[in-house]
Amino acid sequence: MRPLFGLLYTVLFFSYITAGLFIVFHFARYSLKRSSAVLGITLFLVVFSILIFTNALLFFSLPIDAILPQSF
Amino acid sequence: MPHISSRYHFRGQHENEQVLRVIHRHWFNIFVHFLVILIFSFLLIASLLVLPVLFPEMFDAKNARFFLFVENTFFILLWIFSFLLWIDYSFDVWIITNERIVNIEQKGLFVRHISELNFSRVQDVTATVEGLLPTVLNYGDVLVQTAGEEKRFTFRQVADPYQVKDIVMKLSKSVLDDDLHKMVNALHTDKPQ
Repeated sequence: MRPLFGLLYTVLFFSYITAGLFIVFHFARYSLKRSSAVLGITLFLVVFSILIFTNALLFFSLPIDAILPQSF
Repeated sequence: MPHISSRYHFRGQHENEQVLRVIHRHWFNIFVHFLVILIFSFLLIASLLVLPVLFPEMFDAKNARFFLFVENTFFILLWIFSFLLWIDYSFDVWIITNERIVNIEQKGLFVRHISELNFSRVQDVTATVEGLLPTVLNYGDVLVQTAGEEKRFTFRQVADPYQVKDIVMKLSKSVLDDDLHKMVNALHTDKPQ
């Protein structure tokens, strides 16, 4: 079960990263003012990095085998 | 009319083109969406504080970590969603320059429509404010009737639509007056002696 959940979490993690990259790209490319692009990107990345980091830490500290049943 | 071109620049802006106004949808439009986000955030924080107190037997060491992981995942999704909402709001813009109106519509992340209207093609401008909240907060639509392929150009839910209408009418009239002057000068030049 652990490898399966590891794989699922990897997919989820890369989805977060992809969404984050698209948001940063849009701010950088389409903002009308450079200052608002910098502010938006900085704000997004700071909070996003903290959330992603804690999410990964929490996932790897989960006792997956203890939480889920061993067999169905 | 004072211009704000030094602060704003958009793709496709001509060399001597001056940005006069940059117009977004009224703040109330995004406030409603962010209110939903705030309510969800509040519920998540409340569950984080209240549930361990109400159900302490359920929150042993392993369950508490799982609960925190789920909460953190929801916060990430809320954060991404709120920025997607902000992108949809702030990148939907109408830019009035000294030459034309440019409408940039951002629909999600992967769909972007850009249309423009030269003032010489403006035929008629109508401002519409309908409803209690739009009347109180002074926002509504400005409909520009055009002679171009796109028959109608719409400013949706913009603040102070009457002022936007006046600006478009004045700029349209000044372009027509310029054209008229040029025609009159051309006629005077060609007049036989």
